[in-house]
Amino acid sequence: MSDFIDRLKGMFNIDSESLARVFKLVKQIGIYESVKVLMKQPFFRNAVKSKLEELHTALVNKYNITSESIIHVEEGDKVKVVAELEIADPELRKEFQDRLRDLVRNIFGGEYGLVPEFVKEFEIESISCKERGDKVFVYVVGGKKLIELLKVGGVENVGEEEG
Amino acid sequence: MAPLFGKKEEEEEIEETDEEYQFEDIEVKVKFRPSPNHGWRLAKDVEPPLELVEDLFFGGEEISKEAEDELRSWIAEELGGGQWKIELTKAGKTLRSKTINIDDVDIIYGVNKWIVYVKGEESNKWYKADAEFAHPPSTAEIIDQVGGGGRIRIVGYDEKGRIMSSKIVNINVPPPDWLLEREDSFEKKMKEAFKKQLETQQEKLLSAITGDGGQQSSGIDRVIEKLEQLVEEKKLESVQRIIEALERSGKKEEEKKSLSETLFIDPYKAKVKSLTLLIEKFAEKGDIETARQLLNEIPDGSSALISLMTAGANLANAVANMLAGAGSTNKVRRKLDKMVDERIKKKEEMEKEEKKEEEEVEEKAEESEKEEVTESEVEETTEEEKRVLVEERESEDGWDMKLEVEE
Repeated sequence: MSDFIDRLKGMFNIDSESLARVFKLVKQIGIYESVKVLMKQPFFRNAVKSKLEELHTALVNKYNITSESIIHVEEGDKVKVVAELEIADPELRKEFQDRLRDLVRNIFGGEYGLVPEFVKEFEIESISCKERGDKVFVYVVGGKKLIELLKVGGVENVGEEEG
Repeated sequence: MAPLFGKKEEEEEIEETDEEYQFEDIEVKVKFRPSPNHGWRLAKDVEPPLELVEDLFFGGEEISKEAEDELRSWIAEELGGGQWKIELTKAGKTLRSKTINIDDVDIIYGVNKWIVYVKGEESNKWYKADAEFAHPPSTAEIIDQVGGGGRIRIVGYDEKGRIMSSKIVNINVPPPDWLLEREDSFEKKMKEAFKKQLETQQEKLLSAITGDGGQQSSGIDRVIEKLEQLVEEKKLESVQRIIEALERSGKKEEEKKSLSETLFIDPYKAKVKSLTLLIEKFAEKGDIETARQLLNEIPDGSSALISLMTAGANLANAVANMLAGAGSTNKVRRKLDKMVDERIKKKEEMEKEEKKEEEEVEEKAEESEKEEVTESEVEETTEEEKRVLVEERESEDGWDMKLEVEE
């Protein structure tokens, strides 16, 4: 059994039956539609927003992120989401890159229930990370639906693009 | 890049100054646009290394790819980001073209000045800061000029005042004081505007009832008096409501609770409160033993654990029900419900069988077996799934992972 499912079960003490039911429904409806339905509920919307804010604060504090921005660029039928983070400390910059690589590797290389569905539904082609000066750039190339997901998920200003 | 073989006079000029800039009778044009929302404009002054341009179009697959990467780096360093199109034309006709997108470097080409705006979180309004730059400003420069951080928009304008680039950045330091002051005055203005609007409406209503001349009989006077009174009450009520709504919206941030707080901490607090009250009651009645037993209940956290378990199960069911509801408009829901029911039945049957087996085994062995059965059920759902193939590559400045779902 994967760590992810273990953790999820541990976190909410969800029994296997309920979890299997949730996964099955998400697969039937699609991840985007599921997220959309859940985010329409103020309880879940606030919970997700609050979790995202907590995560943002934790990351900013841990890696001393001075500033960050997120843009997207359309390239034919694909879209490239670019997140730019300014981390002045070179060691922290390196640590951030390494930790992110481990995370992406573990999530996408693991056997997590909804990951293949996610990759397929949002046509995720690649995830990459580059360092330039005191900035770290994270790129996600996928289908245009990815932008809709980010908007539904509460990521603000992802629609803004340079130019 | 200046046209090499376009207009005759330019051709001659180039031939005189730089004979190496030639592809027989082919002209090289470089065009630029900040984003797909803009039109292409000819960048006459841009001259990328000609050998790279030659390799890009005539170097073969591998050399062409290398040349593209080198050109991208050259443009990014010399001219900044945006979309760059390199065209080969002959007698006005485009022979070949290649577009190079540089999306992770600030747009500099064609930008005359950068102006910074700060967003007021209360009003959702962008305020122009007293900060203008002749180059893309760094975070430190913005903090210094603006006096703080927050949600910042950096807009690049060309010499004609047209927007060339716009970028929103979160700067993780507190917003400037002047922004808070302007936000406060915005709120005051809004309240005043509401009041004014209500007063105007009241005046209009009164003049409509009383007429322009204001001559009424004594019977009407009383009616008007009553109406005036009602309007006054309504007006005060509305103003009060608006002020309360504004105050409430101001307090929203403070009232936010996290998921864990709503799910676990609040029920726990409520339980502890109830227990405390009960303890007090029992103690008042002189039933010290019961009060003592209840007191022991609080610090061991058992009630919190019960709350957590119940909340977890409820959450999972709520998610499942909500998602099941999403498909309720079509056959999917019926199908899903049927599948879920079948699965539950199957699970119940399996559990019954397992129970029989378990009775024959020792207690400890029973527990471990139970766990294994539960785990294998979840694995069953994941084993049916496809895997994602991850192809990882490391580069000098980072890493790259290509993802593909296994077919």
